[in-house]
Amino acid sequence: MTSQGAGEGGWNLGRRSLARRIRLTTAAIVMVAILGTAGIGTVVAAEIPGTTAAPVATSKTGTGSTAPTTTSQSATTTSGATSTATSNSNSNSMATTKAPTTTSRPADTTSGATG
Amino acid sequence: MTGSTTLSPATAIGLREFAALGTRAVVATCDPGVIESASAILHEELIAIDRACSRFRLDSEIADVHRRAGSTVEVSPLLSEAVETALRVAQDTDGAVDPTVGAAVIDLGYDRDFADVRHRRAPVVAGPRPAPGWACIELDPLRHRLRVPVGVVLDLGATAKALAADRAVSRIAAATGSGALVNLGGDVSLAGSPPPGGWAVGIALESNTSPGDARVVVAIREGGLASSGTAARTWLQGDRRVHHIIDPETGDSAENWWRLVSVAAPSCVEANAVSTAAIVWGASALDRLSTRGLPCRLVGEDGTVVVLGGWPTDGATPDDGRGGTTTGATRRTTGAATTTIDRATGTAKRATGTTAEAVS
Repeated sequence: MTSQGAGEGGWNLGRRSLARRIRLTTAAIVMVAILGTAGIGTVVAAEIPGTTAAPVATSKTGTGSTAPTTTSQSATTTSGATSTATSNSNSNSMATTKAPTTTSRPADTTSGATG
Repeated sequence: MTGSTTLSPATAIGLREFAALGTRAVVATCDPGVIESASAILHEELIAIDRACSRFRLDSEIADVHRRAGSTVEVSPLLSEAVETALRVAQDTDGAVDPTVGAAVIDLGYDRDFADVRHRRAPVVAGPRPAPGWACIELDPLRHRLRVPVGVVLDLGATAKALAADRAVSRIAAATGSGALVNLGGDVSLAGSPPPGGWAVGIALESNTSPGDARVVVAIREGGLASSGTAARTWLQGDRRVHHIIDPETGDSAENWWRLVSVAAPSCVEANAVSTAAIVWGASALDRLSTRGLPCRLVGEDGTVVVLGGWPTDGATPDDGRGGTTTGATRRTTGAATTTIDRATGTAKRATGTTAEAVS
């Protein structure tokens, strides 16, 4: 598989010129510095005006591991699915969902391979 | 469509079931009085997701994107969200669940609705075609613009169903004020307050197993639960039986290492992503899953059952219905083989025995 764009924070970086990459990276670094100075501790993202690229995001949460890359929060929808995927895009993050428990109730529905 | 109100030991719930997306759709509500509204919302969501994402419909949006391959196409917010979700899942699973497997799955013979695939013998074409990789897809999620390279076919089937379940159940809970459950072919999503004791979900090799016939039943109270397996959606290609979960690296059906993987997660999308990826990961799945902390249950091809991340053992005593988490190592007694995680190497080992130990 190609590795085009992987790890650089967006889906459509593959055809971007070097100049655009530099502009994006510079803007992202400035934004990270500003937010870092401000002490903002949650996942943040900034849209780069005039581009169609998904901007770079950073995070100060977690254990100091490399922050996940993600698209702008303004790009994500309000559905739980997308926001959850975003919040779990860092493989180091741990899920907070409660584990299933056993039950004596009859099943309401069935989960299995799609038939 | 079938409809009923199921009486459980704790309460009555509303329940509707109908065929959709080539499988079965189920919606349940804690308040039986809102089930008709809930069913209508689910219908709307399924019609929309099918119109946007179905690769079997000539009039779907994704079909139009494929016809205009190489060009940037403005798409609906829903298709944009579906592609964005698929790309996130691909990234999060290190490419194990990749939407660019479309051409590979077509080569395998899954080129039409599965009802028509199930009973046919697909021709053998040239060797499997590895997926080009999700990174070649260009998506602007802000402006809903999508570009798919010439020759690349998107198959959103691995994620769109789970996304539809998450979207529908959120809408249902918000519109009705009732706790709700949506199940699309085994992809279960919850929203709102669950019934007392939680939603009871049977675990079976095939999602069309009657809930009453499921031998393993667990209760969940939030998020999603999904199962992926290699036994249900299979067909013949030449003299070889293949299944629908594609390993993007080979373009072929994933190796038959796990028969069924069930995962609970904060959303159905995430649960489905991990359960599908585990099938692709095969022998390395236990190591990869143990680092994620998600509750999982895996059934090996030899019948060995392994549980991770606090998933209860099959024979555990039911709790008091108040829920909670299970932590630490869990044990599962089986009659087949033992699967353990080697803590030092992170590799899965198998040996004959009667106890499977899993590390959470």
